[in-house]
Amino acid sequence: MNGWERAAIVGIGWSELARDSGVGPGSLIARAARAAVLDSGVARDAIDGVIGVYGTDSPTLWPGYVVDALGLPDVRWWDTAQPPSVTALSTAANAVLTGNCDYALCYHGKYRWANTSVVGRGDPLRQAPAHEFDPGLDHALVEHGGSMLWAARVMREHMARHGSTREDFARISVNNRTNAARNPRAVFRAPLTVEDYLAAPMIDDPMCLLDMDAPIDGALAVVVTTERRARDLPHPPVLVEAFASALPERNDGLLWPEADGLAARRAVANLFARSDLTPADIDLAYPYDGFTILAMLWLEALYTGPGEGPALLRESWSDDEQRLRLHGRVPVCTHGGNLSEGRATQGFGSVIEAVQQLRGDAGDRQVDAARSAVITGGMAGTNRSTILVSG
Amino acid sequence: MARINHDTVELWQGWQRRELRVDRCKDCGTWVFPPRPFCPGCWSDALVGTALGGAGRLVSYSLPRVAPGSPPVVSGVVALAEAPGVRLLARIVGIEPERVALGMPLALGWWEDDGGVYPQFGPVDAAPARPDGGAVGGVADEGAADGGAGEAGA
Ligand SMILES: [Zn+2]
Repeated sequence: MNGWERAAIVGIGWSELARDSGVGPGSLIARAARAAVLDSGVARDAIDGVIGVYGTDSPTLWPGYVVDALGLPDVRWWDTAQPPSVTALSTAANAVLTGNCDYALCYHGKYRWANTSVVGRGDPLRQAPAHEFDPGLDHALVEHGGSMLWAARVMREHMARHGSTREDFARISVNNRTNAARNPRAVFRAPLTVEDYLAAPMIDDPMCLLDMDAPIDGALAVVVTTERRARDLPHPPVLVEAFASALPERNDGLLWPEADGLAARRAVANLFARSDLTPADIDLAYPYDGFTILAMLWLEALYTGPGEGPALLRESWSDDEQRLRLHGRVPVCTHGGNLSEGRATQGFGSVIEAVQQLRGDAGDRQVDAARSAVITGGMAGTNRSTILVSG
Repeated sequence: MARINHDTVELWQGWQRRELRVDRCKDCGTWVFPPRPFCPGCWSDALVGTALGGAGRLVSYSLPRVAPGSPPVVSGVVALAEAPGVRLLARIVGIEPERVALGMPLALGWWEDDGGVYPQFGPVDAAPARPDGGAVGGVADEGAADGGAGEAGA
């Protein structure tokens, strides 16, 4: 309990997540949004806020589209947020806590546009650098740059500074795929081994194919309201215990790879400063895993000092289960993360999964007695993290 | 073609003359890059464009996959020795990818295509100031990687 009123997630929904959905991005978002409202038990006409992820990185549809597609008669508050998705969740939480709206529909969608999946069109697991590698490297001049090259440099520096190995990063990749086997939402569910990882083609050395999420089509949505209103709805509420960000000086990870670890540590410190819980109390961990190096940095921020993530992963690895149990207890990315659900989710999959787990509604993925989850999103410049607890 | 705008066109024009100019604050000495409207250290408007020789050290790099048969590309971040706190994103050339090492000293050069002239970096022929085994330490010690950055660059 953090001492102030909390927002609650009362409904969840998602479209099919697929390499080729056969429908447009608007259809995906509308389907996910409708599913979330139906799940919440909130009457359609009572939805009075719509908040969408609408970033330059994530061409999607603005809230007006959703209002029209769902026939929402009386929306009085709308907003947009940058990906990844915890930003939209926290924006929705703020909107209901300030009273700008009572029931906020919050969505995220992403689509395999031609420009984000050129070579991958025929083989969606391939992310050739053609679309991200700008031969002019002119982003040194301006604001843009390929996230893949950035992440690869961060990974290179981590390996050089801290002695992390490809086997360490493999554990993140294998863990997530092991968990995805039980997640019907996941696009990539075939089991992986560390050997598979080591044999995967290099895409941006030191990053290989299995270090990065793959572009897919899909959308996910939640309904957010206040804790008090949530008590009257059918599902046990999942409360937004806290959320936080950090923008330390030098946010440009393109030039300052080490900024990413610093941003993660500050974001986690800010997050837990807003709760009586400590990282050791948390039952479920969802480090952002668009690239395995990001998951590494978030795990370090949550549980160790800088550079100590590889040791944590080695200690936490179960050969029998082919998955991680941090400190012998806490599972990581119980749904398989972005690495398994695909890049349409951008962290929103962690929100959906955590809500299912904290409701006790995660089927054969259910973690016994799970009462709290930490979800970290993005990295330097785009981080936003949250703690969710059972209500 | 570079994506230039009003705030970056001057830097870009310098590149076309094969000149690397970086702003420095006249009042507090902070090096300012990428281009900013005023000094982020002391908010002074007195920024002075200063031509640099371009000695640097490699902070990190990756080897993006290229089309079959194309020469390898090393995409790096280079910390400039003369301007603590200033880093450039550029190609690393003139060295086999397997010999590239973090912390290695680099020298500025230029390459061009139809769109314009761009900076690149290559190895320094003279014996490196730091032995190979020290490359990792050179990166861990940010001051060294960033040309002895003091407060101004941190
Ligand atoms: Zn100044």
